[in-house]
Amino acid sequence: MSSFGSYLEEVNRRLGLPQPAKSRILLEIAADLRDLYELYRSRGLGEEEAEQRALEKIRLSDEAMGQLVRIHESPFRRWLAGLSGSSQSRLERAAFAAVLLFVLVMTGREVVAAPFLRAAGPFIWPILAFAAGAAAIALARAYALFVKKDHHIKRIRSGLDALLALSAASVLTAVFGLLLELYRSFGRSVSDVERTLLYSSDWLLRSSALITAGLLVAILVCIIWFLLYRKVVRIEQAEVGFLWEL
Amino acid sequence: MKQREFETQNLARQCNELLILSTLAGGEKHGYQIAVEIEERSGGFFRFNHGTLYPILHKLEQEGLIQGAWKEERSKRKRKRYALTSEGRGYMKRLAREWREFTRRLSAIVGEIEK
Repeated sequence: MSSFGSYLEEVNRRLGLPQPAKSRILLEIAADLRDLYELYRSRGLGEEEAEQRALEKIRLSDEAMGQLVRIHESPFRRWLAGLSGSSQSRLERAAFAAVLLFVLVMTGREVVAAPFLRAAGPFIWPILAFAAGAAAIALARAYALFVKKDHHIKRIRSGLDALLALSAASVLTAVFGLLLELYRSFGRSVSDVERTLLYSSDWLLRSSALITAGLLVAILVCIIWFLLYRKVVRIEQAEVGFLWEL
Repeated sequence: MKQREFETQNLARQCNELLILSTLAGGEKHGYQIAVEIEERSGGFFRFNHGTLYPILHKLEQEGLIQGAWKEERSKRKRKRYALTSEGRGYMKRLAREWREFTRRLSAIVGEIEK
C-alpha cells in the first residue's frame, strides 16, 4: 500500500493547517483508506486494483482541501485571509511594498547615521550583519509557524539554532572588538598623562558603545528565539498529546 | 448556535447534510461507514465521494450538529466515530420537513408542465 503513503504525504504537504489538526485529518483518511481497501479486497478485487479504487474514492479535491482549511484554521488566520482577499489588486500590493521599502530604507539610514553606532567603531558592522541575518531568519520562521502554518516535523525547528549562534556571535564580536581596542589603546599610551587619558576615554567610549550594541542584539535575538521556541514546543506537545491519546 | 435557514441556492449542500444526519440517526458511525450506508440505502443513487464527505462532517461537527470521538474498534484500531447531537437531531427534523415541502412544491410545478 505504498501509494497510500505517498497520497497521505501529498495531503500533508497541501493542507495548510497546524500539524495537530492536519494529523487528525490524515489519521481519519488513513483509516478510511484501509477500510475501503479491505472492502474491495473482500469483493474479490486484486491488491493493486483495490488500492486504486480506494484512492479514487477517498481523493480530496482542491475545493474539499480548501473547505477543510477554512473549517480548521484559527480566527486570526481567517482574519488575515480576509485582509489579503480585500487587498488583492496589484496596485494595493505595489503601494504596500513601496511603503515597506521606504520604511526599511529610512530606518537603515537612521541606524547607520546614528552617532552611537559611529562611536562603536568598525566592529559594529559585523554585529549589524548578524542582527540583520537574525531578523531575516526570525521573520521567515514566524511566517512559517504563525501564518503559513508549516508545522512539518522535519522543518519545525529549522533556523532556531542559527538564531542562538548569531546571538552568541554578536557578543563574541563585541568582546573581541573591545579587547582589540584595549590592546591598541595600550599601544598608544604615552608618557604624557593628558594624552593617555584622552586615549583611555576614547577607548571607553568606543568599547561601551560596541559592547552595548553587541549585548542588545544578543538579548533581542534570544527573546525572539525564546518566543519561537515556545511556539514550536507547544505544537510538538499538542502533536505528542494527540498521538498519545490514540 | 446560529439558526440555519433552508436556502434553495445551497440545495446540494443541504441534501448532503440531510443524508449524513439521517444516516447517523441510526447510531454512531465513522466516515467510511456513512458513505457506504448512503450508497447502499439509496440503491447506488447517491454515490458519495469520501473526499467531499470530510469537509461536510467537519463542518457539522464544528457547528455542534454532530460529535466526533476517537474510539477503539474490535480490531484494536482507533477510529473517529460520529454521533448525532440533540441540536443535530432538531436540525435534521427541520431540514427533512423543508425538503418534503420543497419536493411537494417542485412536483406541483413540474407536474403541471408534464400535463
